[in-house]
Amino acid sequence: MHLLICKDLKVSVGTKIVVKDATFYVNENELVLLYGPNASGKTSLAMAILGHPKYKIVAGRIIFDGRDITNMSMEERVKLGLTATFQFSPDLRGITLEELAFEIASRYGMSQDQMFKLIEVLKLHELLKREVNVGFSGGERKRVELFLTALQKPRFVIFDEPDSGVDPESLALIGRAISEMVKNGLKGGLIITHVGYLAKYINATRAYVMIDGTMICHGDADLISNHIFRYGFKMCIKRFKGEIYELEE
Amino acid sequence: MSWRNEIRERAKKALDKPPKYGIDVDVTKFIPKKTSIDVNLSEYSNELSLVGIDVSEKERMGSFYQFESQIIKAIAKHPGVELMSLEDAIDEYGKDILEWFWNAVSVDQDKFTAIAELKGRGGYFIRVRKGVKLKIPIQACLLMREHGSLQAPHNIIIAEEGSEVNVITGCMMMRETIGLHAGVTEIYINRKARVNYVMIHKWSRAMYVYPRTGVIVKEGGEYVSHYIAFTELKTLQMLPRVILYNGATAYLSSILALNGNAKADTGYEVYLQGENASAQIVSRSITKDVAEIIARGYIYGRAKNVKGHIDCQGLLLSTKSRIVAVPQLIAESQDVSLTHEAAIGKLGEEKIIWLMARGFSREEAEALLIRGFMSVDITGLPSNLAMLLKQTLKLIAKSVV
Repeated sequence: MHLLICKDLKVSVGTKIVVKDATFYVNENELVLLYGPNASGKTSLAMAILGHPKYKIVAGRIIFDGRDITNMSMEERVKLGLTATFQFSPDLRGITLEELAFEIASRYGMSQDQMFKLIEVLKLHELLKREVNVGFSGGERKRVELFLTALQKPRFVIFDEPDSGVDPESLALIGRAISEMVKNGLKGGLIITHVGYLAKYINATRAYVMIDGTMICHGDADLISNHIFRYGFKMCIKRFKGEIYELEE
Repeated sequence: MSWRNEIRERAKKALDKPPKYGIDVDVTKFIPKKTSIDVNLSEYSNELSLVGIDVSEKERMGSFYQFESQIIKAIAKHPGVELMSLEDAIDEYGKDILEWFWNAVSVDQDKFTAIAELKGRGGYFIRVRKGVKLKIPIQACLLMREHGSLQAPHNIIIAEEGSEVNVITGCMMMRETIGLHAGVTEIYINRKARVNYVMIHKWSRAMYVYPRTGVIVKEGGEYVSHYIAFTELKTLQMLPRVILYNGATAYLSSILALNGNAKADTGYEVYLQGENASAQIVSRSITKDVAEIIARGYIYGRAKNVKGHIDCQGLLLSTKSRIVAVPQLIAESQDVSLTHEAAIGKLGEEKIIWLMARGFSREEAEALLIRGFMSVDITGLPSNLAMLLKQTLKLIAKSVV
């Protein structure tokens, strides 16, 4: 059963086409990796699926849970349980992490026990009384972003580079937090990663590779991950461009 | 009372003197009024709670109510504190009142101080005895309702050595009509005493508001002031002057959320007069519609090892409103440390989008960001006053979106 399907997606920001052609799917109970070099259009794809008003879908369709959400507002999509963690989350002056966490948790009926579990898993105790993200390190920001998203009890999350600029300890915590989200009802996720560090901490089934706004191949997660580790994206382009779409051994 | 006549003669000479900043007003067209209605305070409990006044008086150490020019009530619940109208205080103290009468504010500062002396009525007199510490606040409520009314009370707060008092003043115009509020407030904080002063204003679009405040803080004394105005109004101008002697400290905030045609020119003026004195001026200005705010801060460093900081932030919620930040540091001694920061902008769209991804509606996201923007340091306040301030700011944030 497909939970999310994007078909022939073309996305623009202003007058610029940032995603040229993206077709992919995520099954229910599946975590899928999305690889790609910098500026290949991964974040634009994520924002377009989320419904960020700056990112316009000029062609193609998005189906979530069997419903066509292509023309839905961001607010409606979030209400359906679809959301994204941002690569760069903002500083919120004057609002403590604790205040914001309680505000989100109470909206989504997240119990205190579930919330405290997440705080423990992500080691956030010391940040609770501080203003959200103000003076936080890169790793702390990523953990906070995951925490606040988890409080929404989402059904589907696009994780936009949760592993970039993160120390190895935080990586393991993020991996555990995603498992915790699955326990709280997460049915699927697309994990955007530039470097693939997170691959060994989560149980991803398949992976896609996006280059220059186009999905150029997909296949078994381990196979693609190993390939990129060994050869980088250059090799990936050479090997797959215009030849085969689905990667085989 | 010849001493009073001397003061009045000085006032008369200043009747035409325009305010140093802000917009001038013809004060002669306003006269003190009596209220035309019977006052049943409990009927107004919801409105009054908006400016911090608790009609039930449960969590209050004393209450003062003035409706137009009439004193409705002046009662303290603690033997260590005197609370009465200014007229009663003059009766009781006679010429001795001069120790605290027109000392922290000059009677001939401008036409507004002059008119307060010559035509003003009422105002509260609060004197807290040596060593008495009152954590529960005293509330003072000043209400206006009549067309063309002048309300110019003269308030005096005295905190004797080692004492502590918390005062919340709520001022409100209850109808859409023209009026002038020109209250004078003098605050005398003696050695190692502390005053926390919270003032909340809610006016109407035809109101002229010109409070005049002076504060003198002696050795080791502490003064905390939070001024909040969320309102439409015609013009507002105030620049409380705070003088700090050896080791005295002050934290002075103004939080303004103005809409309509409002024009405000506000801030604080601080003199670091004694060694090791320190002060912080914090302003948070929010404008909607075509409102305009000039947020001022002046810190004069005049003694050794003094420290001063101005933090001036503005948030424009409409394209046609205007905010001007004027932080000024004046060093008149070599060993001073004076700093400032100022920033004006609009709500960050990316922050709104991010909060929407976290499940907030656009309006809720904006309200949350505005609440965050308005937050100031309330750690020095007792818990009930801190809570009151928090709730008020939450309410304002919701109402301005």
